[in-house]
Amino acid sequence: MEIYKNYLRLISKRYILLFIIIYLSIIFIIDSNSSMHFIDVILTNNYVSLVLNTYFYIFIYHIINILNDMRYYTITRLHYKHCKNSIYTFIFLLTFLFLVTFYTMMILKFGFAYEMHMKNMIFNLHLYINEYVVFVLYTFIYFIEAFVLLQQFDKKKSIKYIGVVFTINLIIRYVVFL
Amino acid sequence: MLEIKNLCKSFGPNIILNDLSLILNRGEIIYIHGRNGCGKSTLLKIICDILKPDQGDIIFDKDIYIGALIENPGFIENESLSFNLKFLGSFRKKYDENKVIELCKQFDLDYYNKAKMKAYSVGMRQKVGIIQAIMENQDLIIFDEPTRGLDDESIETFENMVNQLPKEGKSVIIASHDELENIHYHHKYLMKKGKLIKDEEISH
Repeated sequence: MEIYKNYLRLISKRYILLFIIIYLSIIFIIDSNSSMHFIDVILTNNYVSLVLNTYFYIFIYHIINILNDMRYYTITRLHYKHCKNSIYTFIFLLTFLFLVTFYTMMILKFGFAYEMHMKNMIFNLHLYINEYVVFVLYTFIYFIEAFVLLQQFDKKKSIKYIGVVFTINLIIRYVVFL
Repeated sequence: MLEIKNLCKSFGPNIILNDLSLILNRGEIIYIHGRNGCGKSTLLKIICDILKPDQGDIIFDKDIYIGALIENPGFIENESLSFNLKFLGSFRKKYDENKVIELCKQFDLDYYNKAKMKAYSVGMRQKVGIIQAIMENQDLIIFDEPTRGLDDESIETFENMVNQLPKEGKSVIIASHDELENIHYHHKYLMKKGKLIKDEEISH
């Protein structure tokens, strides 16, 4: 865990501040409708997802670039395999942490609306399940994007990785969410 | 300390290292020179585990810790010198702040300077790269073109520092175009056609 704590020091205050600003903008912009719960809010507000997702992959791209710039020093200290594994694990942990933070914040603002869901489940089971499948897919996209960006480890810095992520993002949003 | 046996490495059709062998004993300094693209950096990267060889073995003594300065040093550009060195030192928990402050003084760097690394000149970055390679009492120290961007005074400091390392039981490999005449090398090698050819042997 020490290595991951060490990597966490790479996250500058600027990025944390930006995340807070984006989140605050989201909760002020979106109407708190009592009939909607947090998953509805995430899935139906496409621009929110897009802004947050863009922030996420630029942030991850930046972190991987820093780690890549210093790779000769870190590989010498940790050896190649351990260094690569630790960076992959760290980025996936960071993705998980990012989503948990975002979802927790959304739950605190919009809630689970549990009763509403029980009602939905009884009257419209198909829609209810469908919504959760899309939510899992939504979560999964973040990990796919992180994985794509991780491919630039030990390679020259290139905008193509962010281009691939942007394209994946657009296609999935167009096919699934719109 | 280090034994390299029959090392081979190619990039596509270009054979860079061809059945290369080398022995480095504890407390020795060796110098490797050769033309651009002859494979010096490739050899050093393989020793540091940055590149994998196609064939051959690299055998280290037990628990050897390597410090290296290879190519242009990359840092966390938006952070200070002390942040960068602490970050690197914390991987092995061998960070000795007093030693680092002393090394910074020797190289005329201000450890407490809050300036970001992106504001540092090529020579200053090179000095930070040298410091990180030796600051944790590394056993085997590898320098690839260490004097790039250094002024005469800093080159002299570097040479004196390298001369001290064998006395502490450390071994050093230097690959450079500058011979750095004040360093007391134990062996000098010319790298040619993927092999190391011994220049001369100096006994101390």
